[in-house]
Amino acid sequence: MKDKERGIRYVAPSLIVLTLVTVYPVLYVFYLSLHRKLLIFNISKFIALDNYLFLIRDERFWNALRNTAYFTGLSVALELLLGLGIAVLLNRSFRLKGASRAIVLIPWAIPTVVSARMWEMMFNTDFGVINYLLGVKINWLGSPFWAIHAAIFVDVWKTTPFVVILLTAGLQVIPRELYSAARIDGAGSWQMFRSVTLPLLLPVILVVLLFRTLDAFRVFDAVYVLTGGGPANSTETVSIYAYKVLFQTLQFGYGSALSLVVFFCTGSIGIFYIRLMTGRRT
Amino acid sequence: MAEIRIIGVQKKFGGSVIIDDLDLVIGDGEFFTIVGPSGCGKSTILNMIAGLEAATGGSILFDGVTVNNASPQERDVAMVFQNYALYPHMTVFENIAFPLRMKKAPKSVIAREVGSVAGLLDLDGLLGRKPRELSGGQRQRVALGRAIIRKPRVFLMDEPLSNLDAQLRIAMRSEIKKLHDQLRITTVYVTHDQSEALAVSDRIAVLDRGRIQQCETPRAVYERPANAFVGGFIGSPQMNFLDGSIGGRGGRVIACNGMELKTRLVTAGISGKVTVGIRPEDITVTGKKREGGFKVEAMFLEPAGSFSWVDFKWGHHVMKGRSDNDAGLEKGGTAYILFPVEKIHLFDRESGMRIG
Repeated sequence: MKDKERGIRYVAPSLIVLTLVTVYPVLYVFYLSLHRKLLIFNISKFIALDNYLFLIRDERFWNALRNTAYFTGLSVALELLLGLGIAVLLNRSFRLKGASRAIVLIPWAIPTVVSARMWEMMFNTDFGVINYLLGVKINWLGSPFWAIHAAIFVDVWKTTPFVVILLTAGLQVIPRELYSAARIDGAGSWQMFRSVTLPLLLPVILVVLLFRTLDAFRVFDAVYVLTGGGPANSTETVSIYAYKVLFQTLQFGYGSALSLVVFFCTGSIGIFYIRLMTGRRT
Repeated sequence: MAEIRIIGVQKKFGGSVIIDDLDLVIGDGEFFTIVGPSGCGKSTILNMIAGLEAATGGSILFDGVTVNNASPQERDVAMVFQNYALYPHMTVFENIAFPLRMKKAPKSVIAREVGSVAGLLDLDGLLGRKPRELSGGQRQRVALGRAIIRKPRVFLMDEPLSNLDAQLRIAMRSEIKKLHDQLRITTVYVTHDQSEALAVSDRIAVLDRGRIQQCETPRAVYERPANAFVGGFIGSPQMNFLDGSIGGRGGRVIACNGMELKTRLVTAGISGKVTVGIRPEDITVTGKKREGGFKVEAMFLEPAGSFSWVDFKWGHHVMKGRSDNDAGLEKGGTAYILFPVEKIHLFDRESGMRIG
């Protein structure tokens, strides 16, 4: 009993801080989501789960969720594949290895808003460099099909370096001797990659997927700056939708319900990956 | 099985020459050991035989066929590494089966071969385990299993026992020797441990700074070291070295440490400065005065069970000898040493080469 008391005293400070900065806001958002709260009309009324019932029927929400899922799936898959390839190449010994590693990081080092603006200009139909180089006149950010893929492209460009760095770290801890052993055992390059590199990199790959899926699912800044969610909501993700509801139309009640749904989704994704990781270990 | 012939092989890393003009013939079915201090280039030689590193000059032949440009697989070599290099994510079964899987052997063949190797190495109960669930000795046996399953032409071992504790090391080295006697596969074994080299090998090459100092049977290397380096490196505890000179009475007298030793070792007519080497196990230390014994001061006794090693001071030199447990020695007391003159080794002091 004494030990328990002492233990509680030790963790009390962190518990208090965590309660203030995470538990309280989440609970407050939940509380808000049970209300019809419109700041401009000064309305605040308890409506129980009406916001959630509305959400289920809200076609714009489902559209945003579809966009988010598509964005997440495609960008994370591309980042992982590209990142893996680049990491394997960078892990070989060659001249200017250090410099190459630093150069690869540059997109990651630029603030997202800055790089999104940069790409927005480059995607411009009339004077953008991309149309100029390709010799075409495509309205990249103005057509629903191209806009979402342009957004995915920018995200891949920006976050592949992050994947590369994590995977390079993972590659470096694989003992060199294993590759010698595999060569002696008669494995070719592809077999070495499949039988040694990939399985030993899997824990790191799972961490990469965890980080990237969560980040991609909550994506806001890159897409918001690039397209603002348009055209015709074709690039509107759940975060952007929640932001618009909360801060452009000031519907705090419904906006909170949306935010909680994002929170729930990311939480589930996180738990899924962590289960996968611990499951592998035991 | 194969005879390995290394002709004029050279290895450079950047500007520095690691191995220069190496010649070596390893007989078919031989257990051949390369021994030397760390950094002498022994692992480099092994890697070049394996095909993991390319020689920058000279040629390597297996049974008369040049293999310089052949892959490890084409050379048909198997290797055991110091850290075992087991695949951590595979079971013991999968580890041992890996070389056969790479050869695309049918499943039934793989199961049968793994079974027989497991039986040979006493791994039957462990096939489902992962390497991290095994002890050091078991991992070592799995590494051996993975190497022998292919029935390679050449078996290469790079310090295979140095990660094991002392007792296990001695047990495993006789296992390896037994395995070789059974399979008779040409084996090249690399170690820095001279006692291991003496224990397992048919022949030993003593390597220092990329050059072979001596290449003979364990007995010859121990009894007739080709130079002072080999004398000091082979044998434990280390050989005692004294400065001396040959002269007088037709070169039959060695002046050393203020004493004169008469010897037949030296051919008449040789004179000059020499290094005198005496193995500690050839020096008997006693507490009682003995005919022909030299008086020394006992400094330190190190019991070795059935006898003791004694550090003693002879003139200005601190040397090591052995004594019986009932020799009546005490620390700091007077003692007497005896050694057969024919057991001393003489090396030219300039070149370090053996004389006589």
